[in-house]
Amino acid sequence: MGRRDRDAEFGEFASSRMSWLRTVAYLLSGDWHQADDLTQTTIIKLYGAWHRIADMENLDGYARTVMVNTFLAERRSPWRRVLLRSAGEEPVVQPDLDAILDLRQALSALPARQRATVVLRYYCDLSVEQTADAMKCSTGNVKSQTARALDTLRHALRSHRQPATSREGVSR
Amino acid sequence: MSEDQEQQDFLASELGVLVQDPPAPRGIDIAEAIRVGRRRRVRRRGAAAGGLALAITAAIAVGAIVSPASGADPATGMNHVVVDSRDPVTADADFGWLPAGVPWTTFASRPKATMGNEIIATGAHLGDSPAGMPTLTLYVYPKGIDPAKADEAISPWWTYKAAAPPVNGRTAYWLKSSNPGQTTAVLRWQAADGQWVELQAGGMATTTLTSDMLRTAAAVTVEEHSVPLPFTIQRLPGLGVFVASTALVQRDGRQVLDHSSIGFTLMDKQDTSPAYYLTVSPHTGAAAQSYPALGKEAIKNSGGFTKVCTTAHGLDACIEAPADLVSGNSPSNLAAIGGLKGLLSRVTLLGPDPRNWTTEMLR
Repeated sequence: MGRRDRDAEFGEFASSRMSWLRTVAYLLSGDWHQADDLTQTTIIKLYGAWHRIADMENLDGYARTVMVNTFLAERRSPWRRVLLRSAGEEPVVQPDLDAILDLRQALSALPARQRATVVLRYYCDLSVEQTADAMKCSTGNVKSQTARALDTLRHALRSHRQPATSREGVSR
Repeated sequence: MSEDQEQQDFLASELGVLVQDPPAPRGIDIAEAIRVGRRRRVRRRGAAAGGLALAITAAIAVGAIVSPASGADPATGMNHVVVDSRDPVTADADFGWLPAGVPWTTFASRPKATMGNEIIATGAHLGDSPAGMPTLTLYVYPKGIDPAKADEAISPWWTYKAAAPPVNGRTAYWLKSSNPGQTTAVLRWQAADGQWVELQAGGMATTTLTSDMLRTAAAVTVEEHSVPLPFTIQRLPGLGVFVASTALVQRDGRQVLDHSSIGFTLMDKQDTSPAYYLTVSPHTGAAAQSYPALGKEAIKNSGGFTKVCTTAHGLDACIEAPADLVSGNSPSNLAAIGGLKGLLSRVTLLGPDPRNWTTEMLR
């Protein structure tokens, strides 16, 4: 296949998957701007590997793996760490009153790997084994990350849904 | 239905609701992705060709086959380290002038398997990278590579060369895309030695874009050089650097340190990713706010990471590592030097004045 054809084929693949990739990127990053950056970076990486992967059976799975690992790597990069430090040590929680955004708040408080686990397991509907494959870790690690994430989400969602008075507790 | 199952079903359905009605994409450009992806391939192939040429030369000279691309780091003996640990940050060029609104300049390490490196000027800290942030990216193609030939041969997306005024008297052109959604402007010109240089701009003010890019290009100096760092670190067994960067920011007409970072390992020769990050920044920076105890020595655990910081000569230095690596699974060579604090004590801060910085990081 000529390079022009290969680029056209890649352009077609990337166009058809862009919306889905953005969605996964948004759930990972919690921000549409960052999601667009993550999607663009993922598409660049996919293009770099296109000559090897174009005939792959599970191209979508490969694309998802590239995106998740790009997301996790960014969260571990010096630039990101400096950013995190300058933003304070605690996760940034957006103030939102709408009930559906409780979940977004709760997700944003999760560490990157737990968040990736939740997105892959419950949005992408991957098995523990598939999630481990995508995150390049053991199934045991996926299970423990999932359990911790669910605990955190359960706690966060409950506290968000408590009436304000009971959340404030009673002074003694 | 169990509470767990109920929560999992809730998650699955609500995650779907969360992503309904997304805003229009900004900054996603497939044509641009193809162009950047192709350039990266050029870098890798150029390096492989360079490596092969060196290998052949060496083989002729000593009658042996060598493989420079996969050799151990001469500074540390590490097999899989991708950056020269002795002098980790290098650049092929530098900006001589930048438009207002892009005061940050970031130099990064160059992986050994590639050629060329991007130098990036931005309107905010690069780690922030909000979509639409003004960004100028400078790249020097390896000698002998004409990017236009690759464009014409490869992509139906990038087919237009538009005339541009000469840059310092040498050939220049704008690269245009057939994609109506083109989000970046690209200027290419030839440097004095014939190498092609590329300046890419995104998120810039459109009214002054052309003149700003031409002026920026005219002031670029093309010269391979090491980028000095504001610290040194003692050689330690197993120490190998994977990534490094230095960001400078324009303040009061001077370039001052924003931060300098390295990601490295102390584990063993088979490591393929950094376990530790050292970040050095001015004492007035964010680290000082996070660590009010700086001045003595502060240690903090957060989000599964342990971080230890210190300050000297007007700079803060922090080393961060996964908490389990520091406690339960501490490698013997880290334990032998007194853990993270011992590691940090092997870092020497050189102060904020670039005249005191060094290109020999390992001591």
